[in-house]
Amino acid sequence: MACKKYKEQIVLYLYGELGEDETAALKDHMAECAECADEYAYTKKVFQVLDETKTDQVPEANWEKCWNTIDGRIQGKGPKKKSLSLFPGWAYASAVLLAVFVVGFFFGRLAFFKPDQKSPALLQGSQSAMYPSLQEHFENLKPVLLEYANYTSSPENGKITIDKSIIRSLIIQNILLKRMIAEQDPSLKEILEDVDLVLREIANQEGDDKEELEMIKSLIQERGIIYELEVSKTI
Amino acid sequence: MLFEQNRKRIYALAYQYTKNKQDAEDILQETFIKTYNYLDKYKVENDSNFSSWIYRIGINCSIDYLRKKKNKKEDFSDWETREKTLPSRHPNPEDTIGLEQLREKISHLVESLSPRQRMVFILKHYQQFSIKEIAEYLDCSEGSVKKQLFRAVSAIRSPLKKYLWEKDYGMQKI
Repeated sequence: MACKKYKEQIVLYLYGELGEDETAALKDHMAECAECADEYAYTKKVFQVLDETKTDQVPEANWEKCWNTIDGRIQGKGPKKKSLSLFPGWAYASAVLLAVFVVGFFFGRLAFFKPDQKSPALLQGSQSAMYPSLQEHFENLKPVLLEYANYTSSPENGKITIDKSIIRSLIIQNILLKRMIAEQDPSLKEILEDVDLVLREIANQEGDDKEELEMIKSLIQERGIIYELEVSKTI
Repeated sequence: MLFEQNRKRIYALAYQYTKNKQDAEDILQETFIKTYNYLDKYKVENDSNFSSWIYRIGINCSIDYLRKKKNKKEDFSDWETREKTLPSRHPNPEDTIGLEQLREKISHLVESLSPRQRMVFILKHYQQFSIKEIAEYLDCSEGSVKKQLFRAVSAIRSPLKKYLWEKDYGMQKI
């Protein structure tokens, strides 16, 4: 019976998981028990062989295939929205990955956010910890929205050049924050819905189509999105 | 970048666990789908950080995947990769065993463990997590992890005796 206990402890000892007292007792026992001493020597040898035969090689995954599958399954599971067809398939796969990243970043910020660093007014209430990420999102949105809101069709100022991948990232971040905040703050959710609409129009806009640019400009102005973002910062 | 680290960690674990590229890719996909679906269940108050949380999902997806696979009727669609892992039908006439054969043998012994035992063994022996960490990942007690680990090591070491004991391995005592 005692040997059974010690044989279990041999494994833990070899893994460095045995406490000091237990280690001392095990050593005392093995000094008197040949069977357990042999068991120890043999197990140690097995561990050595396991290490010698270990292979660290991991074949490269077919990442593209993986993301395509993720994309297909996300689209298949979720509600079918017409707006989702705005982007090619890879965008949704990227969305999942980015979402995972954004959430990681989001919660990482929560962990390191110091209350006295930003607007103390935002720190009241149980959802206050969510705001640093929202604030940052709004800051990221601002230059893009201002660019379109200030659009004029004059020859020297008739072109807007914004990397579409930035817009896609903003859309995904917007979707994620909207999903997280929906229940806690319906008014913020509404703002994020307006932002979503504008960002999708921007993502769809091609070339220098003046009509489209004017339409995006008026959408931003009519819905007062920039104003709403500014106001929400001070709430 | 956080997701870069996570996808590589989870894929590496899944591959070490299944020894099959296709299976590891399937597990990776399942992990990300579940992570996406469970985002709203992630609790900020939770002690574990986000990487630990997604890694835990990866571990559970791996165990579930293997359980389902074991319950299914065996299929041979992976015959290309499977061939490489089959034990040699023609052992050396002198019954000696080389490092490569030993590797195959160990690989088969690890595969013969139950899905949970296999995971405990891989997390401890190859990923070198502490028993406490493994217990947290698997949501069980440390005592349970110790039992599973002991059983896994016993299941691996006993059949190897034939190969190791016969050879001239110096048996050192403490």
